[in-house]
Amino acid sequence: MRDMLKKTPALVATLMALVVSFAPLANDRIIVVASDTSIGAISKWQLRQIYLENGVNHKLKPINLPIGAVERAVFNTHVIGLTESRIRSYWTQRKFTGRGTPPKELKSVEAIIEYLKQHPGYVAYLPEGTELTESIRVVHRIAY
Amino acid sequence: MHHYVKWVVPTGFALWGLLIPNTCQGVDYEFSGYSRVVAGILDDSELSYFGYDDSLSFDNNSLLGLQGRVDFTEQWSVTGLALAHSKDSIDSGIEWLYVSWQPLDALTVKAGKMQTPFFSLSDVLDIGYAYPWVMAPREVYNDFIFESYQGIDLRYTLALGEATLALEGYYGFFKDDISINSSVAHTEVDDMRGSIAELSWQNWRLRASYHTGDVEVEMPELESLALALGQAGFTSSAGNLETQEQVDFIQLSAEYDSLSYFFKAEYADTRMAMEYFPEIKSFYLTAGYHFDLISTYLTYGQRRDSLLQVADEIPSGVSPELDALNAAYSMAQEERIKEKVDSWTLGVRWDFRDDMALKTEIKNIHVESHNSTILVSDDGAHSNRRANLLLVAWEWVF
Repeated sequence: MRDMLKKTPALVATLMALVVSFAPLANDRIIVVASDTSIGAISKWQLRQIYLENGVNHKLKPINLPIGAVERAVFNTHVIGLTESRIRSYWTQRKFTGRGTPPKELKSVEAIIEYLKQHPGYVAYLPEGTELTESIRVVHRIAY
Repeated sequence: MHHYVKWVVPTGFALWGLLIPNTCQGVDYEFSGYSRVVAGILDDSELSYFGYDDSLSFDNNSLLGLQGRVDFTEQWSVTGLALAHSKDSIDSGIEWLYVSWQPLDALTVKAGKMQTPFFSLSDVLDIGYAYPWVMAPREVYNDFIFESYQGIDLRYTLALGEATLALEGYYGFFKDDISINSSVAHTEVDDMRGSIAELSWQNWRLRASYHTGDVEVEMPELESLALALGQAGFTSSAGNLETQEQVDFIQLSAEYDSLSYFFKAEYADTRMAMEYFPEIKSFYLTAGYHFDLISTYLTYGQRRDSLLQVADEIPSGVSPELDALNAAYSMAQEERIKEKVDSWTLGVRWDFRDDMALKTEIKNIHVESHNSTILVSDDGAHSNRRANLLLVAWEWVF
């Protein structure tokens, strides 16, 4: 019994650690934000068009995180609905026929936030919980 | 062209791209390119299919293309592409070179030498990375189609809620040697024009286009025979050998692509007002499944040609001269081509790297044509031919 009591704090700590480490996973979300406060919610299909047309004739221009970023993979799966290689095939055709270029790519979440602060009229996906400023508005949420 | 000379221009481009920083006094430039190595072998020793026969060959479709784009301002840019083809009979060199002007976000105007936008994939047939097959269905993407023209092209993109509609129109001309009936003929197309509508909505992409032009194919033997027929008063027969007329072309395609499966269908109808060439109706259907990095697909392709009725006005048995003329005329008509092709293709694509793919496919080709140029035989007597083609390809974009 004494042994058990001795071990309890360690057990509780382990359980706590597990709870803490699983907590973000339980409600993992990606937010899609725009540096335009006049914009309301944007549907999945509209976001798909904005990204696949690189914002041509839309109010917003898209920004991507680099290949390999978790948020990019989630966005591709849930919004674009295509794998990275299919999207690359698509842009290969566009690029070599002079019909468009892929969206702007920035290195990190921090770089995107900085860019959005300076440039109105852009849209990007970020992990939920990213600190936003007044000029940046959430326009779509993805739960996965 | 000497075998090695053709690699000089692309290699020069590549070195330029590697050695020079990509911005210089406010002018941005970008280099990109693609390459493919394709190996293929046919299982029949008496037939050949687009250059493939029963010995393993690498040189039918292997190539390297390098594109350079220079942005002078936000609105103006120049794009050029140098192509090196492994096969000497296919021209290597500057494939396209055009000026691009984007006065509005949604409007792009291009002028210069550009790819022909006939089919949904005709302007990227060299870029294997852009499509699932090793060999895009040749029933639709046939040899008649030339890859580039000179002219002006306008494209306007409209956002319609959750859909996008792109409208494109072009005007120009073409002047070069093209492959017709498995021989090479100098061809000119004037007043070449077309319009394309492309609608993207959810996972769908629909494309419809119409193209037309005044085509003149130089075939000296036919011209001299037509002249002789005309002089003898057989003007209908002479007219039947004309190789200068308007050609109309209609294309429709539908594509569905998702994380797990894809579907693509394309239909094309080429109508020539020339009796000497057939009307060509063709289509393909493809269905496939994506297992993450591996995609598999099954394609059925079909081509049906039809020939117009020709005049039969030369009397026989009247004089040896007329009989000779009739024989020459009949022989020319007998040489006309009428294809009937069916093919099934089963293939796999593996995107083993972000910028590379490996593909393999097996194609069963069945031809019941008159004078087939698709499955070519040394022994012309057989009109019912069947063969299997195995292809392997490595695709790269950079």
